[in-house]
Amino acid sequence: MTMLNEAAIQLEDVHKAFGDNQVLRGISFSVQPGESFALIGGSGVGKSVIIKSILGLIPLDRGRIIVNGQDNRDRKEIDYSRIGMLFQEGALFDSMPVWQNVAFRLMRGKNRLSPDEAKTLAITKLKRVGLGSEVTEKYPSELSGGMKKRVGLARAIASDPEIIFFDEPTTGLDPIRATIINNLIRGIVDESKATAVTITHDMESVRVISDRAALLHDGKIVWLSESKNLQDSDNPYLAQFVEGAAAGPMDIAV
Amino acid sequence: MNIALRILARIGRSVLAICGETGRFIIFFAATISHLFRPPFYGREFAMALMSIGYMSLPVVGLTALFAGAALALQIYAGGSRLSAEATVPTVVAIGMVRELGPVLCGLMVAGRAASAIAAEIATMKVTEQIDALVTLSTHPTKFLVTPRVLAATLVLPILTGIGDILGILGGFLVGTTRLNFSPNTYVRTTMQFLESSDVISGLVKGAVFGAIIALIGCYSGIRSTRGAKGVGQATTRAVAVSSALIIASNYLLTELFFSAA
Ligand SMILES: Nc1ncnc2c1ncn2[C@@H]1O[C@H](COP(=O)(O)OP(=O)(O)OP(=O)(O)O)[C@@H](O)[C@H]1O
Ligand SMILES: [Mg+2]
Repeated sequence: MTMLNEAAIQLEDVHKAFGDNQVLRGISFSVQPGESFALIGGSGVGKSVIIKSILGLIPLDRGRIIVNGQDNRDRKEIDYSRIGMLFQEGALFDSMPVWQNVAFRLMRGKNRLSPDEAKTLAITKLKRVGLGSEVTEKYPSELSGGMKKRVGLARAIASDPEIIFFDEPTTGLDPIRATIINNLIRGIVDESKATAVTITHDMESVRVISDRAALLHDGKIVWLSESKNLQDSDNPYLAQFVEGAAAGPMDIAV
Repeated sequence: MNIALRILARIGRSVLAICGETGRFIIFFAATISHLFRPPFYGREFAMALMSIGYMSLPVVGLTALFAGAALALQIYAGGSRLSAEATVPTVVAIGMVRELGPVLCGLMVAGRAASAIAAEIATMKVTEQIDALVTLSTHPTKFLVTPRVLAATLVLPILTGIGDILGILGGFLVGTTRLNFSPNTYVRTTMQFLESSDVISGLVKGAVFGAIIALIGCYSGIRSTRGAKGVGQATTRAVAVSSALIIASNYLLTELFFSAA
């Protein structure tokens, strides 16, 4: 599992602080090509920060991150054309209608499509996330939270990326739509052999979506194993997290 | 002793902060310029910036210039009559508008409208992670957001300035012919006779510089903003205050430059 050159994503001893707030205290893990990896952990523990660091959006204090064999310290080295990202809050461009958000990359760059082709493709992607033609021309401010999330998802998968990051893809969705999105993500990973990293609070998501998962606590990984071991682990952190128990090794200040 | 040290430390910190900010701005400026010459070019963003900075500013710039020209004519008449030089009203209005008031008023008006709008838009994009999203969609934020706006403002401000010049002279003409007993013919002839093309060009150059200042400061305060909605507000205010002050200061420097060159 630890063959250096073969990992799609490799984190080595990653540290990150914001002022006095030491968020990551030595994170190391790797994700293999075609693997679906889940990051779980309490709110504010640094899951989103990990993904943004992998994407080169946040500079590290210490350690390094290799994506597709390239050190990501220099953003120029990252080939974003092979990467898709669903932001936790959607991060949709509110100056553009939904279809232009989804087609953003398709309409720009070297192999750009014509606006008509891009729009058709955008509508197909929107359909995959369960959004019909009534949203195509709407602006992000006119959408519900769950709709924004799914537009963000459509945008993340629009150009069939090889590595996809999902920051809480099912948060804010009803259980039925959450199941649909879970199956969609699993389907994308299985069909296109994409590498996926998903942040989620939903244990059902972890089971459906991911091959392996890591539990974060206090800036460190306290559990990392195959997702099928989620239930029957004797790891006290994981047991507390899965059960949602207030008492346990994770001392969460309220 | 202790107090003196503390004051010194505070001064030192401020100086360092100003140096750091200036350095960051220079890097930002250099990046903006370098993206002018490297593809891809975002034509749609450029066109939209032309619309929002130029076209949408026309009413406010036009009205301001018209009334400024009218008031200028009255003032110059009041001053001129003391020296029996009432006849200079058309010439002085034209030169005053074209060299000074046209570009400065236009710059300040657009700073109020566009620098704030640019800063608010980009700051909102920053706090809602839209700028991060641009990066992950293989789009350089400077190239996509900053360069088109700076280019558009630099090109469109001279045009706005020219329109402001014409309307300002028209304001003077209206007051001169209706209130100050100039015949329309004399007014127009005196205006044209003494106005030189270097007057007009120096004003338009000022306009271009002010345009660059407005867009650069607007974008920079937007991109540097932090801390949610409050940060957006601060970025907006800062953009207007800093760009207005820089317009006034650079106006003096440019005037000095043209003055010595003439
Ligand atoms: N840009 C930033 N500036 C300062 N602090 C930040 C920044 N981004 C994140 N943080 C801090 O880092 C910590 C981790 O944030 P992060 O967004 O990664 O949490 P998370 O694990 O994704 O939580 P959630 O499940 O609620 O989304 C938080 O304490 C947050 O305040
Ligand atoms: Mg998060």
